[in-house]
Amino acid sequence: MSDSKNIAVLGNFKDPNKIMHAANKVRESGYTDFDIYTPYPIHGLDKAMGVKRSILPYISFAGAMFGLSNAVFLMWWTGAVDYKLNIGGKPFFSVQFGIPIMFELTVLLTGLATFVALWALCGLPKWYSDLQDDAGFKSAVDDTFVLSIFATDQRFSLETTTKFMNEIGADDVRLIEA
Amino acid sequence: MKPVNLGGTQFQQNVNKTSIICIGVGIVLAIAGMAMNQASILPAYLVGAMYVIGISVTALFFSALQFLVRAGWSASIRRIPEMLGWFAQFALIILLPILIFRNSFYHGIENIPSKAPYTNTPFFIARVIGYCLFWFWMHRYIIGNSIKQDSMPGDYAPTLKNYKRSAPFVLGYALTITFAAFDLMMALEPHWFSTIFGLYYFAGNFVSTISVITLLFISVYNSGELKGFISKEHMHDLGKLMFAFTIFWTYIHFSQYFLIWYSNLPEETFYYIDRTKNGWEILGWASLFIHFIVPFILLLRQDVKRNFTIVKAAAIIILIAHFIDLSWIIIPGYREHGIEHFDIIALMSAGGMVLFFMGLLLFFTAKRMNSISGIAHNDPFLQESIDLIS
Repeated sequence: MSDSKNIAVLGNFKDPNKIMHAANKVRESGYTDFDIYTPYPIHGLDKAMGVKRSILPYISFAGAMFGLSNAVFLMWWTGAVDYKLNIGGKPFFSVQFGIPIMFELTVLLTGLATFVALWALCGLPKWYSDLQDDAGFKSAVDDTFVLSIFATDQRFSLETTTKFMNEIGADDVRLIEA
Repeated sequence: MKPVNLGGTQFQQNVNKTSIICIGVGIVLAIAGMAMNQASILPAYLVGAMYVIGISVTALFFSALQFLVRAGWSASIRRIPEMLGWFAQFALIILLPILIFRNSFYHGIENIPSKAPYTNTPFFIARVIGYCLFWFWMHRYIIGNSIKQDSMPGDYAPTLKNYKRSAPFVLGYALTITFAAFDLMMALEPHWFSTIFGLYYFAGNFVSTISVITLLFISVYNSGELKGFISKEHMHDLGKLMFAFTIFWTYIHFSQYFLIWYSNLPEETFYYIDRTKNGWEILGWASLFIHFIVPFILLLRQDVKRNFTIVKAAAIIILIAHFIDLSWIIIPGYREHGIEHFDIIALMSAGGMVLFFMGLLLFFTAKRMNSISGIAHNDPFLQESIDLIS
């Protein structure tokens, strides 16, 4: 196993308060490339980890504007330019009857843009992860809170990171190699 | 936990001061307007009454709603709507002039024989008294139990009672506020009908009630009386509700307008035609802009819901917008009785009445602080509310 590469150091926690405490400690000590896996969402954990605001809302907003302008163009071009039809004496184009379509297309494009962008930002779909075979990591979907500090972090070194993990109270500190 | 008495605090003095200013300015504006144009007396009174009754009764609904959904987040701010709701008991006194001078307020309401079985005066008076008694009872029951919980630490019987009964009370609120809107506002246009009208009135009320709660919340937060109980997280949630319900109001109003515009039937369209000519379209456009577009843009981002200045501005804009919205519904209803064209004097009288009644509402809210705790200190969800992270 001479060509094996260090991927990350993992540590398990049994308690949401402890993982919160650990997240604060890891952020304060300067690590930036780390992640936490929990069985359920924990309020405030993103703040403790120092996670920045996602750009997702801006992508959603762009999708909304795209949908809205498309709807206006669609209503106007089909109704008042390309194929004029007189329906019950209604105007060929008007904001009033356009609003439901504008609303629907805005919502649709917002939803689609958010969905696609969320997958892209989360790196999905992902067929393989170096952590997936670790038994302790799998228990993060059951009753364990898993902290992982990646080897790509500038401050990472096997000894100090392992020691640090033990100091902040992690159980079963282990190295993942690939 | 211990009760918090807000009597004699800076917060109570602030509310008191605001109420005195509102009452004073309101009386001056209303009397000046009514003296300049006597035809504006009736619409101005009606606008003011519908405004304040809507907000105080909806405050009761807000409290009942928290019990209905077993809300945890709101336990530490629930006393604000509960203090506002005290004024709902006086609804009958405010509506008394309307009951007495019904034929002056609602011209021609009895000239339609086919609607007479519903619109005749005795039945009308009985209905309005019924709504007011229901609101009185709702306050006694829901708020009464909430206060009773204060003196019973560890025994949650009053809260459990509220859990059980809040659903029928919310149903009763829905029916009374809907029919109150029909009887007191839609009756201005006896030939016109809209089934969504009650929901439209409710939507405006709910967002205005949230705005009043938010303004009081910001005031009490800044004066620091409830330190340790309330945090910015609560304001974030109130901001979310404000944002959501401005959109809800727009949705409901457009639903009413759109069907009438599209079906284009003369028996329905005249309502909007009369409100989009002779200068009244100013109010319609104004309510579109400041009841929807401005609050929507102001409150869209996540971080601004934690910004006191912006949330305060949005709340005040929404309260003004609700006044303009009610004026747009009510004042053109008197177009054949003295107010034909868009009338800034009538708007001034109505604004004066709204300020006067809102001043009374705040005055009684401040008075209420003397007698009940500022925090529902034995509420089973209080700790959860204090720890809230939104």
